[in-house]
Amino acid sequence: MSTEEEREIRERMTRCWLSAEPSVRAYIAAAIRSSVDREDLLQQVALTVARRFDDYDPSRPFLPWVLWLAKSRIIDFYRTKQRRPTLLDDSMLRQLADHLIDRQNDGASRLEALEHCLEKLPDRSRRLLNMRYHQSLGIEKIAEAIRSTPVSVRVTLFRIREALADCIQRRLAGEAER
Amino acid sequence: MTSHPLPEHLKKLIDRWLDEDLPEDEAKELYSGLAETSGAIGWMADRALLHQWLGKTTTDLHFTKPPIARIDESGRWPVRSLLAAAIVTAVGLALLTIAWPRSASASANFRVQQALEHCQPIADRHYQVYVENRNATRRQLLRSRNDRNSSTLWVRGNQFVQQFQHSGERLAWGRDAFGAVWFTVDGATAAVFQPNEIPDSLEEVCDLRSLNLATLLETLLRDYKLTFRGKAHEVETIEATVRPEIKRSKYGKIEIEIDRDSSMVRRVSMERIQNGRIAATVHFDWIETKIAPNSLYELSSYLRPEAPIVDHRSPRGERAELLKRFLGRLRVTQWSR
Repeated sequence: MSTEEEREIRERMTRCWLSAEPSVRAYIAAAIRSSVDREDLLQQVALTVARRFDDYDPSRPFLPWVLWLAKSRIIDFYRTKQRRPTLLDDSMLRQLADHLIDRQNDGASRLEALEHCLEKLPDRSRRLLNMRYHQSLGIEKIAEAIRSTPVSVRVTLFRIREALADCIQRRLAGEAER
Repeated sequence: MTSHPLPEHLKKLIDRWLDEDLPEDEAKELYSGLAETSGAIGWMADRALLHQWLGKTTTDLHFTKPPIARIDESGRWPVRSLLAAAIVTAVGLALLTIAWPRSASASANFRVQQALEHCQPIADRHYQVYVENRNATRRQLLRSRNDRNSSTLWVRGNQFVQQFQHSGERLAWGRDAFGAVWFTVDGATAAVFQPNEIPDSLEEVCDLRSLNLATLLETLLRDYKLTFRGKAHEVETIEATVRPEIKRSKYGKIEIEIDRDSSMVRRVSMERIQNGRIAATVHFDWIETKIAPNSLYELSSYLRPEAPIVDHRSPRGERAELLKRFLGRLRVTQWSR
């Protein structure tokens, strides 16, 4: 293989991975409990993609292929931990992948809508999201930091996410009507 | 993110699982709920995606408050916060890139990847900004007025401050660390909009005139076809055009100049799309990158001591009127290069 061909393949792989990464992360997060294990699995999937990219048929969508690889890694993980599937069985993993694949087409619109909706949030809600996602604090730590209770933080974060999901839906529906 | 008629208790269990906050015994209850409730898996997929996007948008665009903005005593950026920001984007790129040998002459995509890796530490960037209006009549009018004032822009993540002159007045406006957008004319009058109060007209100009480089470069790698347009001794020029499969984009054609040695982005020219049409071409010329004080993005730094601030508590209509006049001045300072 020439250097030029290698470079083209590498670029195609990077582009494919960047567009699929949020869905792969979501898939692993839904299936695996611990964030450390989630990161390990994500790295394993990325390495598998790099090693087996020759097997990928570029005429077909990338996401189903990478989620199929991720599913194998998740099942391996369950097996090595010698547990029954901690949350999702084979059929559920397949449904989850199908749903993420359906969502990929309007992913960019949803992300843009989310950015808009975040700007509309009150300051306090933005601070909580900042602590959870930017500073990666757990619920208990956030509760300590704002002198509240874990129950209250859980409920508040749940409501913020519900409000954001609702705002995204309304914005997308509004765009569809235009 | 479709709203399914799912029991609220089950939704909360899913959120707690994704937050790594669900004990083993309650995980069994979640498993039963997922297996027995129609639409539960789909809802979980949507929610898991929302969690991922929140991680990404809050890192890229928002909340650059003290832990990130503060400098430690040694004068360096806090490594932990920057690492967290970098990991979100870089983990896949790094893993994928190491699997392939790097060649001596980099491709356009590879150069943009290098520029993205280079710009991850969120420092303050200073630009000269030119906005080229696409409306020929307005352009002609502005030429005849010879109104060719330039503006400068400082950017730190989602925060920005822009300053320019208009008909002898000194104007400044920006977005602070808490997401509030403010503006002032001569430091004598000022108005502030909290994040949940920002009208669409103001949000549109914020979007048009500010620049989040990391977000832009990621968008280029994901949604654009990149080709070299020229290679000079010191800089490489890359032209980016939207891939045909991308249905909606905030930008049209984009051109960036990347420093050959440092991988630093020196110039960005981009067509901004609004309502499906090219609204303007905005040119950002890099001046410097340095660590600026937090106060640079705060309204108080541009106000005279006695100046009143108009906000949501002010008499009805006062703030809207100030905004209307301010946006009028802002539009007049668009010109052809």
